[in-house]
Amino acid sequence: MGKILRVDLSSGKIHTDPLDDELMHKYIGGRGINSKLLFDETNPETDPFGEENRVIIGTSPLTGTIVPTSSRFTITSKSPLTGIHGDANSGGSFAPEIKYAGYDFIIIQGISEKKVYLLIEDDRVVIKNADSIWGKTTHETDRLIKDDNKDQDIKVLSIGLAGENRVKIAGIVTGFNIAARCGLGAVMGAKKLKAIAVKGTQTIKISDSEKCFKLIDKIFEDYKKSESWKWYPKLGWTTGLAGMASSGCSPIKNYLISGGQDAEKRKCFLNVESSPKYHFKDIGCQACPLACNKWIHMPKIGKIKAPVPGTGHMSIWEVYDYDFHVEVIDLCEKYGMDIYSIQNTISAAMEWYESGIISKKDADNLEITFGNKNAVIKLIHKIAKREGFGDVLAEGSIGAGKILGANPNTTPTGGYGKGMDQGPIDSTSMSALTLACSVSTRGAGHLRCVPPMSWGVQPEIPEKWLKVFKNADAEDIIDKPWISHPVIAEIVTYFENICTSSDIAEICKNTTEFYYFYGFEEREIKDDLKWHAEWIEAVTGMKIDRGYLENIVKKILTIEKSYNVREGKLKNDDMPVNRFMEKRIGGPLDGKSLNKKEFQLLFDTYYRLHGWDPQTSIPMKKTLEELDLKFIIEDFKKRGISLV
Amino acid sequence: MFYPRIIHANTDACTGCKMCEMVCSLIHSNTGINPKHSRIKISENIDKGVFIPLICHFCEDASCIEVCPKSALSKDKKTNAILVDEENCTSCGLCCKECKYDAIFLHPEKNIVCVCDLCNGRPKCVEYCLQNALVFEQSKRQGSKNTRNSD
Repeated sequence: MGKILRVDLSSGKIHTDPLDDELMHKYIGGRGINSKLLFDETNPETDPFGEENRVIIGTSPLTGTIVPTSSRFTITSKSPLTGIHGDANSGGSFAPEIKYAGYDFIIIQGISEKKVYLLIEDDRVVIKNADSIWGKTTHETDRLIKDDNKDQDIKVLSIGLAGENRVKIAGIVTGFNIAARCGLGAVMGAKKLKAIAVKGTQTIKISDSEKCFKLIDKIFEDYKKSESWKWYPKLGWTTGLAGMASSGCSPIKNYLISGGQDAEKRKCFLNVESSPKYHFKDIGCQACPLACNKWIHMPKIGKIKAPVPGTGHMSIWEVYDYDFHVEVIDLCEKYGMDIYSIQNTISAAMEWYESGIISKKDADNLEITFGNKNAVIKLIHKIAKREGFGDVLAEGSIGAGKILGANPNTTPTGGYGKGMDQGPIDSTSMSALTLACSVSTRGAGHLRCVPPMSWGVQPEIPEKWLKVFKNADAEDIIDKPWISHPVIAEIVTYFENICTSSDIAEICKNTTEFYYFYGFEEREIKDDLKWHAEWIEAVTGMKIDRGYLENIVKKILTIEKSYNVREGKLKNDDMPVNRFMEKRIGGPLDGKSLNKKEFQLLFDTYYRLHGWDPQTSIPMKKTLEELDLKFIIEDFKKRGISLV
Repeated sequence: MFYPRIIHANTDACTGCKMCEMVCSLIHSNTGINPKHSRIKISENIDKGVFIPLICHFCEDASCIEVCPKSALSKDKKTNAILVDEENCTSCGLCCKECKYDAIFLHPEKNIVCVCDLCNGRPKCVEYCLQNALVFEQSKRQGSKNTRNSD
């Protein structure tokens, strides 16, 4: 039987609960169980910075095993940035260590009187004084905890200055990875919890190791056959970025200029991976053969992590400078901040400054103009320290915009009403991209379900997806991303299933159809939910097939949606800002725009597919019954939330 | 006579994913996976950002065998790997101190030492390294005495 480690920082009480079979059978693990626990243990009365908020760290039954990429974990809390369901996912080698220490979940509540960190060494769990590491960067904290405990095998998860200062876009760092989104670093900071350090000497049992090895052999065979295996781990950044830029979804100048028009300026990013200047070295999360992370060597800074593909959009600031890019990412990781939100927040500040919404005086005498690299660096420091204008920006792009009374269009995102930006993704006149980012249950973003063809990186669509379009009589819209045919909601839902399943199994999306679409030749028969189910069965012995897993996916999404409904977020809050509805000027989608009426209908189709009321987006009673979520019916009844 | 080696073919190729460590621990353990129970250890040079596998060198005149007071260590005649006689080993740790490569160590669960046994001639760590950072070689080269006290 698994174990949940519970820590109350207010009382100092530490105990373990068994992870009961029912919880596992109903929600499996990872984000699945996390979301159920958050719904049960927090509510609309919970202050995200208060004692009752939880930091729930969830692993899955696969974590720490030889299943490829089984090193991820999800942190879940009520988000201080959005006030709704918040979670962030990360890789590295922290999560396996939790399992080796004998735990599946760690749940922290309360607020510590003193600054502390949690040290977990198998059964020995201690709340330790963190005075000497408070104020240190995440990287320094990692090193100091290892040195102080004279043990280099300890794995550390920590916040930097940003989390300590309750910056609402603060993330949580482990090694070279970050659980960045939803401002969860600020929750730890509010609890005065600087870090969690784990070391485990126990072992994880495998139910059927022969089957496990067979599955791994198969997927390794698939990787080796795949064309993309040859270049994606090496050139993922450059190629992914180039693809996104040319399709028009890499934003320029806070979305004021239509994406896809800066190819010339982007030439400085070409082939950085093969440049002798940086000495790229592949590094991987535990159990991962793809090794998509890289160490590089930068003059003056030394060894540093290379930016991952998703962060390559400083075109939003009109900056095209790889070295500067690396410096910014490094700063954000040391402070523990979400680079996606940093990009959107600072680009919004640039628009506010240039359009006169804020004056030079408001901006602490900084000239926050597009292209001003110095201003960017200064602002990052200020945001982490909540100094001057940084204190406003620390509320995130949407929060800061509201404080200044700025037009929502200056902080473009899908799902604006939920309070988190979707990161630097220009989804203007792209129905799938805008829908997917908008409906994300943790606030806007792409990691819940963006269909890969949205990124525009591939020249052709696999037969499997073509069939979906053909069956819907929508073949002619495949190369027209601005069209809002109902099939788009189906496609978004399909990839949402894959992403949610990946989060439940705590497997990296890089190996699923969601990302591995560049050229994964087996994708015609690739069925990620089937894979995940097979691995879960091989490792745990639990009888599970893809249908079972798909049902759990639906449950989890409905639980998260219900959490947000309970916080008062309904259909309107899923809507994108108008800037994404405008016509594109220039670039690959020049002259195109979304048809507002048809696009709105997409949401209705999406909600219907999920069994949610298209009028409000509230899950329907029948859906809650069918998904065995009666506890939500009861909870809503108590709160006077009517169900259709 | 062939002398085996598992070598680190390419310093750059190892990404630190620990697949080798986990596979090794699963194959050899009665209880399950933990990289700390592995007979191959990936050591990280943090400053340089490089990963180096530490593993038995299957020395021809192995000092660990020489120094064992109970004669509990011997060479497998087929694979040339070091064999541990579990009945006679008292886990005194002398062989661990003697080994220049930190390749032999106290078993985390049982009262014996453990070391790479080459998985009966088909090392799993090599098989599951997708980066091809590990290579299993069998050369005609004869090994040499390798202890902390020599050189």
